[in-house]
Amino acid sequence: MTSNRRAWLTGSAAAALGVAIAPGIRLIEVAQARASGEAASTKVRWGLLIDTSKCDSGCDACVKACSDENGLQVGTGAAIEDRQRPQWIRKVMLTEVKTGRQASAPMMCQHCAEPPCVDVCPTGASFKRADGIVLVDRHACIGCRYCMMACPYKARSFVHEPVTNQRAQVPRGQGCVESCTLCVHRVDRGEHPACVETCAAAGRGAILFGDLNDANSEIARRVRELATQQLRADLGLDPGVRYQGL
Amino acid sequence: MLAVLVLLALFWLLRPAVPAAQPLDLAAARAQGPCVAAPAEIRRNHPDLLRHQRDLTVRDGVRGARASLAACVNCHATPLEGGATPVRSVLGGPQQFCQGCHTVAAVKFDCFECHAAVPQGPGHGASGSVTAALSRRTTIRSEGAP
Repeated sequence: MTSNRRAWLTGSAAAALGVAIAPGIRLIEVAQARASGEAASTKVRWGLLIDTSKCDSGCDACVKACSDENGLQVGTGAAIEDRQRPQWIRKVMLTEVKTGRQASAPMMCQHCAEPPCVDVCPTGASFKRADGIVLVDRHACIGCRYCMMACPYKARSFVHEPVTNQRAQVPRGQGCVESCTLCVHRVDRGEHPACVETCAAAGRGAILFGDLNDANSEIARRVRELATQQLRADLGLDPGVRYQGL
Repeated sequence: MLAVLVLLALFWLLRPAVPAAQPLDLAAARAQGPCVAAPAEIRRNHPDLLRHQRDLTVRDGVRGARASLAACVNCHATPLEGGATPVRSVLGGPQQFCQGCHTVAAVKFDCFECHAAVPQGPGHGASGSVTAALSRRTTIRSEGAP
């Protein structure tokens, strides 16, 4: 019992400290990790800013990191065609037709504010969390793939084969549609998505993660000061992922 | 209310040892503290506990709550027989924690078609470290939940 009480007191002290620090000093990790038992808030809008000038066409570190973090390659058989394999993030090369200028960039779920995948889902499995992360609730997904049709970014994949050896934090299985979760399990711990971390570790730092609603955050500052764009902005979906230098 | 709960927990901790139905390391299990609820309640209500929690976690992003499938697996997975390397799992044989009971009761369950049946240690899943788990339990008790 003594150890229980001590553990609880320590936890309370840490929570009190977090509250005291968060409003004033910008300790990013403390400010971003939500307390145990606290729900995601609409005050936050998670987003990415991708600087294509820093993205190397020969590099796929983000794709590998995503695959590893979310266990996308484990337990998939050889019978499946490559184009049918689940992929949450992919590298694309964009070419300006008139000038021939090329830009390389990662593409993933754009985490729209008005997600068409959510509009078309017949079971409510496709949903947007309060903090702007678009997810699939696999408990409700019937695998109809309407959302794959609706997504203009081709961001979603269908899991065709049985999956084994999943990551404990990333449950996924046959018969469901899935896509980039913005590494929601890491974000809830106050960490950054795997692709962002790996890109920075590789010395490129082409992907910036942060809270678009927080005027003091680095991502909010950059989208305020620099020319950035949303892909297919004409569709009015208001994606949370923005690109710079396309 | 709290006193009753503490008493119940003490009775559970000090209960006479019974022969385990599966090769569960009782000493190691007890070292992790009491489970999230009394065994009778868990046996009867574990689907409801988990179903309620899964919606809160998936939909609202609530983390670190009392009931967690990953935490069940972390504590209750037992070594699989016949493997070259010792692997703990809740599936794979009539002696394994989840599959054993579900086979006897003839109840099909599909949790582990998506969820990991093998514990992946602290830092994976909701259970985290033992200290964190104990802290969580104590917090929940102080709030008056069962």
